[in-house]
Amino acid sequence: MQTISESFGILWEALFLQPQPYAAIRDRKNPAGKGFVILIILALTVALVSYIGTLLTWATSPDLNAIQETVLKHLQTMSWWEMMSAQPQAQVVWLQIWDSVWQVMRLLIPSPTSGLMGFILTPLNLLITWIVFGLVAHVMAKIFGGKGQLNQTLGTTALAAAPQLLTLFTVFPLVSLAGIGVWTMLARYMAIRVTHNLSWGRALWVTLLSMLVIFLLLVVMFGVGAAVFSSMLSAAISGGFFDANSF
Amino acid sequence: MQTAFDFIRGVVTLDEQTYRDFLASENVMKRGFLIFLACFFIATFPVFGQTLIRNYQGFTAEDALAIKDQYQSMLQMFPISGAEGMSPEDMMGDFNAGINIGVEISNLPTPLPRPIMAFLQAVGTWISAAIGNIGTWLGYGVIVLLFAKLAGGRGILNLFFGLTALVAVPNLLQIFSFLPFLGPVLIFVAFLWGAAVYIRAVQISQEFSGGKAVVISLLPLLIVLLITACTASAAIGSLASLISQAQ
Repeated sequence: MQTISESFGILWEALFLQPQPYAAIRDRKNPAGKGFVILIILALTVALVSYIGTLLTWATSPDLNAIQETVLKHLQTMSWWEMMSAQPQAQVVWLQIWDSVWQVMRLLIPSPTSGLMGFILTPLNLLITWIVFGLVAHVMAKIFGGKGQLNQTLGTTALAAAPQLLTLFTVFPLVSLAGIGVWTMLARYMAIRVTHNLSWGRALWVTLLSMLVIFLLLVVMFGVGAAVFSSMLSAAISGGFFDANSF
Repeated sequence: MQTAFDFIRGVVTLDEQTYRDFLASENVMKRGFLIFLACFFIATFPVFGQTLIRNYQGFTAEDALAIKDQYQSMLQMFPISGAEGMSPEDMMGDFNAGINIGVEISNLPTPLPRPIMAFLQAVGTWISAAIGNIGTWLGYGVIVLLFAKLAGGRGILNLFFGLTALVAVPNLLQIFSFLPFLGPVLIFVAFLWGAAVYIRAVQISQEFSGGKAVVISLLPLLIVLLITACTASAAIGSLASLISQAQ
């Protein structure tokens, strides 16, 4: 219990970009370990709050099947529906597309079961982002003359997730957040500056370049993934795995 | 209470000592952020009331009638030709069907009773309206701070954001935004007053002269306007050349 309250205390101070909480983590015996614990506590809290928000959103929304039926019922009274009825083939295709769109929506609309995924995805997302940014930023900071150790960089950059505290507002339905990205960038800047004792200009470059490198890595990964997927798909089609006439 | 009133009066009258005392206090960004949140929660309270009433009533037949009247008068002013074979009556019929979709969906049952649903959604909308300003405050602030640093400013990150958070104080006027005619005027006054507070905050946090603070504070806005103007003129130019080529 003390660890939880201490973690939230540190995150709350780190949110307001004061150097002290970052310096306190940097000077600990095992900064990365402490950062990991803080991050896990934050991630599970965010996931729990988001799940409550998802439940309330679901409970304050009408049933999707009822919405689908209502929309279709009224679409069928429209003049274009009558025109389309003259071509039964077109109507069949239209109804197939209509059903697929609602199938996709069923996956995207919050529900008590789909919301449970957040308990896995939120911690995973925060942990991967933390480790990747921490490693890239450490290399960048070293290039720019940083003096900190990797253990310290990971410890302080874990605190840069403090703006995620704002997601606690999403316990209510329909809440949209703004500014978490910018706030996180500022917190990362503070973490790098404190850990590596860099000037403001160098710390800014390290922060921006690290984020740029990660963005480029993601672009390359998605590009390679898309290329592999499309080549597998074309090979499957040309190899007769699918009936080409069905496309 | 008297202290709070004196503080607000000092901020809105741009009293230098009020800003300097605030800058010298402890946890400037934390205090600034809490003032920012409090002001915008008060200022956007009418959003809560309006959304609560609207959600509780749902989309009524009167609302539908008002929209239909607007659509009919718009059709009379700007006659729109529909798809081939569609008469104006068909178009009006389709529009009515669309309105009926909205009315029926809005009145579909939800797992939670309607009053609770209306209350929760109103709170969510209210929170979004209030905290939506965080993004602008931080995003604009980062650019201003960068220009200020390049121009020799001496402000520290958290002190700068703490002081510029006072921009929220004149926005308390937005609480009257629901008033017809006077509401939009007061919103405009709050914007201009907020700009004056922002410039004062930049001047004091960066130790700039008045003129320099004005330039640095408005520079990002001028750049955005310049880019928008260039983009718009380029788009209009290419559109004009396309039209002349087509003729």
